[in-house]
Amino acid sequence: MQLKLFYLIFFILTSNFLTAQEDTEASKQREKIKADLLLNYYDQDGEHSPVTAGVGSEDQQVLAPMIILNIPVGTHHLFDLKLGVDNITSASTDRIDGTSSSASKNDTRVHANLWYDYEFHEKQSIGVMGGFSAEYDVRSLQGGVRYGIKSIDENRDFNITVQYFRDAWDLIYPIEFRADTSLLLKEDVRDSYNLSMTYSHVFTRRFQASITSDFIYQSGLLSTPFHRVNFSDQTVDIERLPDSRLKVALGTRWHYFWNDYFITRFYYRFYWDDFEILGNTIELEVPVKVKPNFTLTPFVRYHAQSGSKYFAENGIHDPLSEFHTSDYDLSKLSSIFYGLQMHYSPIKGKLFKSFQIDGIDLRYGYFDRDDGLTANNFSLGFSFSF
Amino acid sequence: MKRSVSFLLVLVSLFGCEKVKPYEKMYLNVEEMKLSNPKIKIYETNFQSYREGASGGNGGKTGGGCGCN
Repeated sequence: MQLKLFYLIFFILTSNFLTAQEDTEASKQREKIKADLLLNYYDQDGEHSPVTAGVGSEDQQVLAPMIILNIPVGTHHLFDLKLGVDNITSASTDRIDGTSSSASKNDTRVHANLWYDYEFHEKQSIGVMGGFSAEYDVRSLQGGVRYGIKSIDENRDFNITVQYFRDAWDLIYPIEFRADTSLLLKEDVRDSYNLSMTYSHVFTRRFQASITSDFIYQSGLLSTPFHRVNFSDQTVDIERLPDSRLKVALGTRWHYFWNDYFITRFYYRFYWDDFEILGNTIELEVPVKVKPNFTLTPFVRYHAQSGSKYFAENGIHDPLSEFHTSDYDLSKLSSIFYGLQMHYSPIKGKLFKSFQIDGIDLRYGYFDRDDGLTANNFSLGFSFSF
Repeated sequence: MKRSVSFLLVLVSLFGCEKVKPYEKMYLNVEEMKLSNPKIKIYETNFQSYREGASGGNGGKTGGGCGCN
């Protein structure tokens, strides 16, 4: 009897100890900081630069490192910090002053934003964000709030985000327009208001999907001051666009787990705006698990859009038109983007104490737009936790 | 538009719908099954929004905060 009592007490004490260890281990896991170091190299070329009225080199290279930190504090608080520096070399911005080399040929854009999320009971969270970006001719401040809610079984998820951007521009005109003050644009700021909603649903053990809607309203300076336009009578103006723009985008993702080797990720987006651009985008990614810790993901993306009513090629615009652009980004176009991603998760990723490499990613894609613009995009990423 | 919605509803019905318990989500919790874009795709969604007139609907840049349209 005494032996039975002893065993009973021993069992109770050890089970409590194990539970406490699990709580400690669980809380340690919740407090792990996750970091992503990313590096991107983008190299583009084309022959329709808007700086020179839709003709001329669009040669551009961008080297962009970025760090993303995901910092949980306790069990309810989460900080998400992004810091990046884009180093841009562009042959077309060099043509603003019409010289073969100038300070505008090289540009650096610094950007950062910080989200704070608070998770409270009933599977709900709220978040607030602040951020900024700065490059040689534009400085931007941004703020936002978001709310998320999950169903009790976590099979359904809804998020809503509202963001505001205030972009302040230095009105840098092409050199031939600077002497005549009557051509000065009225606005030098752009306000953007974004409303985004995402609903996710788990359908089966192997299939889940989401739908995202974005509503964007922009007002103020929507053209680029140093973009040129050549009219049909061979006179020249700067790019001029309306002072407001409404955009609507609806996207859906469908992810299906076929087996331990094969997953499909499908994406479709419909886009509309009041510049009369209608767009459709589809993307397919197929992660193939070659080994348990090594995945190859071939992907292909196709986009097609109708052109803005304000776009025309070089030398076509009516000189009496109020709004005009020769920026091929706003033209009728189709593009294809395809490539391969490699993902490696080290089995023995722990370097020292609690510092661990979670994954290494290398992604390459080739972009081909039907007007002749092409680009190579290389991205490298390291994921850590500590 | 109606045809597109009907097509999507048919596809959804083909995949079925069931209540999935937390311990049955081992396939859904695989990294590649997450419904958000992996972080390494940030750069792609950015340059695609610059080089095409369309943006948004993908969790990426929708407008503002850059010297772009």
